[in-house]
Amino acid sequence: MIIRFIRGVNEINEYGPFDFLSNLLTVLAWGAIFYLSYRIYRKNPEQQVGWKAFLVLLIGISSFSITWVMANTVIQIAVLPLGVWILYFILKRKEGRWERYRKFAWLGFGANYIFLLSILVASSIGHFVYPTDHAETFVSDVKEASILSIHPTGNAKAVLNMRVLNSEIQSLKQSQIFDESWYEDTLYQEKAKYERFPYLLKDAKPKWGSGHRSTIFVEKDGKGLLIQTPTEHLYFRSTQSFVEGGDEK
Amino acid sequence: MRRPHITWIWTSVASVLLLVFMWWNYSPPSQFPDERQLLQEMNDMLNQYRSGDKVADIQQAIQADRRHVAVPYISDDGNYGMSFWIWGKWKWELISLESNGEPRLWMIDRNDPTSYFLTWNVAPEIAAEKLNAYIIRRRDYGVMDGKTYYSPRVQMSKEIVLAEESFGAIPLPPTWQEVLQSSIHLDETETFPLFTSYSTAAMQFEFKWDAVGGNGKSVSQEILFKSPQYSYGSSDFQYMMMIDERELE
Repeated sequence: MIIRFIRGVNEINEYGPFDFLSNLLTVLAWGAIFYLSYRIYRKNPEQQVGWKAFLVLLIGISSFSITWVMANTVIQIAVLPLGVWILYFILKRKEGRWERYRKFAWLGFGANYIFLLSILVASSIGHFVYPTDHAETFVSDVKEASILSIHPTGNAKAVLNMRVLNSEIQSLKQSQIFDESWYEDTLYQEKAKYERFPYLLKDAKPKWGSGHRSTIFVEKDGKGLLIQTPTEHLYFRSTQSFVEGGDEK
Repeated sequence: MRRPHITWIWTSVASVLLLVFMWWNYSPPSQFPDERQLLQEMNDMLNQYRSGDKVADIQQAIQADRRHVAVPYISDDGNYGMSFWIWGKWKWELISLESNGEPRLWMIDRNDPTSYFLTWNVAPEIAAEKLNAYIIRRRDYGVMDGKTYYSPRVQMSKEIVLAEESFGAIPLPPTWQEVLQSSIHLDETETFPLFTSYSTAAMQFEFKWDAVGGNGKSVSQEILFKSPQYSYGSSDFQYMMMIDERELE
């Protein structure tokens, strides 16, 4: 559980690839909030000062919220309207002032739920547009991509066959990193001083606007991709090798 | 009537303070001290700690970057040592003086692998031909929350021919930086941007070394480096352990 003030701001700070959907929905959410506050304001513009109403709205957003992760999405549910309480104690000192600005403060608190809705919508659309069971979501543009040997098992001279990877990427099959015998296999590998994924695939770009960050490793035989995201490790197999010169050693 | 005056005074005081602050923190480094001054300061430090040793000869001042310099030296007692200097508050400060030139990793900014410098100083008369530096990350695999995960082992090496460079301070090879960066980039960035914490992904990497003699056999640590006589000052360094051949894959 954390207390977060003025949410929606720090999402933009996050580095990494451009996340089109959440940016779009954040903009839409703010648009909706502005529209609602304008409607409240228009009812009796004489009584309220525009910029003060805006400030009240912003402070109203501050809240105590519960954070958890659901289906790889960080969700925050506002529970305690901290900003509204603060405003109440400040504004009530002058007769009638709290009554005039009350609606903006509560709209600010309500904005948390508008943001929550926008995140849920973005993530559910995201699941369709950028499915995580398709390698293409993570490796879409390989024009600048190359491989790097990170273990003596890999061949330092091995290069990426971009043409094969490009044509295979859409038909890669997701499979289990380990089948039933994985544990034994890995122990055996350790004894044999063998690394199953000795190449790092670098400078491959994810699908535009997906905002997916990942680190990708290539299997020794050149037919497998291990895609590590901040939340899970995915494994994809192809029928053709996209590494050249990796077999000699 | 007097208010504008007061505003002016405050503004100018504030801007002067800001200027002083900027100057204090971001002033460009001055000329690095010459050999005589370096000897003076290093011997002052040795005297201060009542060490019997005395710096006899400065081997070279190696600029790591504009504000960081490594200075290998030879002492009266025959130590091949290393000293580290930074442009601190307004002067070049000797931050660390080590009687022993064992390989060390100077991590200027832990979250930025391009700022890591590998330093060493080996007595030239010692019969070691090559110094190998290693970056290693252990293989990691298992099942967590019902999801299987696998992180490949990273093992890369960099060979230093001691006949050519018996001492030095060099940045990490670009391929190492690449691997470190790819791993740091995957770290969660959900934390507040105000707190800059060490990347846990970067902490999983170990840096090690070993040395090879003319006969191709490994040279032991005791032969290569005298046991450390002293180690003064702060250390923002990662000491590099010697690696056993059997640990390598």
